[in-house]
Amino acid sequence: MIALNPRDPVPAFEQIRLQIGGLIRSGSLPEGHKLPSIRQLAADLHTAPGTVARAYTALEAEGLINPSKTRGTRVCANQTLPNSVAIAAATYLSQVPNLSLEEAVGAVRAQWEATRSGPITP
Amino acid sequence: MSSIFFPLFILVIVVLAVIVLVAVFGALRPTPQEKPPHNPEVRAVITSSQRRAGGAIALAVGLLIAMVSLGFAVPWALGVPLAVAPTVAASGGLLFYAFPGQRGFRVPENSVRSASLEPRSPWALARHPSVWLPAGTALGLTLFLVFTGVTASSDEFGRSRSITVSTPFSSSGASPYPGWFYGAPILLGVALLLASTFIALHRISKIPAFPLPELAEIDRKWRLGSTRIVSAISGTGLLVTWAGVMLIAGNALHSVNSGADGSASGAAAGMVFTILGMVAFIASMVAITLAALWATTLKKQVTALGTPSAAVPPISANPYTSEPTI
Repeated sequence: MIALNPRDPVPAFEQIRLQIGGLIRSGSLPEGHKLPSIRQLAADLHTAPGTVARAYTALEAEGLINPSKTRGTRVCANQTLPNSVAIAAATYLSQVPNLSLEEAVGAVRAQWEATRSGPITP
Repeated sequence: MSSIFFPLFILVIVVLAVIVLVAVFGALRPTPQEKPPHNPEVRAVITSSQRRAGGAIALAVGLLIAMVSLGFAVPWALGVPLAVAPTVAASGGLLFYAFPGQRGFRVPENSVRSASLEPRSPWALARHPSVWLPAGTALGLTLFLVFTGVTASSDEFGRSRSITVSTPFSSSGASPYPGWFYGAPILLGVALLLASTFIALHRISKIPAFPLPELAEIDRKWRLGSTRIVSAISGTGLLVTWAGVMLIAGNALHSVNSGADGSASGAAAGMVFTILGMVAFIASMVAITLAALWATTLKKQVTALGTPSAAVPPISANPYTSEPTI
């Protein structure tokens, strides 16, 4: 399941994109899994169809999903991250169990940006 | 024709009305162990669905009565309106059920809402075992009509609505018999009813899901419960039709084979068809009774699990901005 928080400063389409993308990369949504139609997901989330359509378009651009008029929108093959990433993530979360999701993601983001600008900090 | 149809359809209508009324009023009687849903939105959505299902059954019965009256008012139609009455009536009920505007779960403007990533479709609902009733009955009825169509003979006006048994010395015939004169309109009625059933299932699948993860099981049970009701209404229309067709065919076969020119096997087949027709009629009464019971007890069935109430506050003055309707 995915959730949409209207009070979150992150735009609605981005929330949808991030969650579906995360589920695909983690392997929770396997290759070939058929996603709900834009109208169904928009109705269930009580948001505009255009919001979901924008998220789906972004996911398609990332190569994560493949929309088809005949087969529906399906998860593309070979999009799951390596198992080592899942192990590293589990290790990270076990070492800092009191972080909220935002704090945990923020720390990874900060570290990720730091690695782009200089050597990895311990 | 009328001498056979009239008592049959009067019996159908009277038994239908009595059974449905008894079932509905019996189910509406509160019981001590009744466990109403705590979540007011869930309760409202299911109540709306119950009303629709009850309206669909009432409309189907009303249409059946109207079409039977029409059938007897136009004797020159030779019973064709009577033959298609059950399927057309059930179609009318199901199209009423599928009419847009069903109440959805109202979500507070700023509350978090969740959604499953599993697609819903009428085809997925059509895999529910309850749909085997209309599907299997439609298949059996179609095959039976092909059989009677092939074995029918034309009357003096060239209409395929009688059956003839010939020997080298004489021939005898009986009418009415469900040849193509009745079979073709009935098959059109079957197609209409199957399409209406699909449209009703489509409506069930398209109603937005309850937007909380803890309500997912309630949502699933509500959809399956509604699918059962739709299947029972559809199955009733088909079973009543099949019952009528088998009784008419059985009566004609028995009549044409009971004379000196007839065969014992033909008479026996007529008897078997008559018995099967009665069985189908009883099955149709069971199906419509179950439809009425399920429609009136949907809330009890679905909320037997109990529904959480903490996640969504009860509706106050006007905190909701969206009222989804499909």
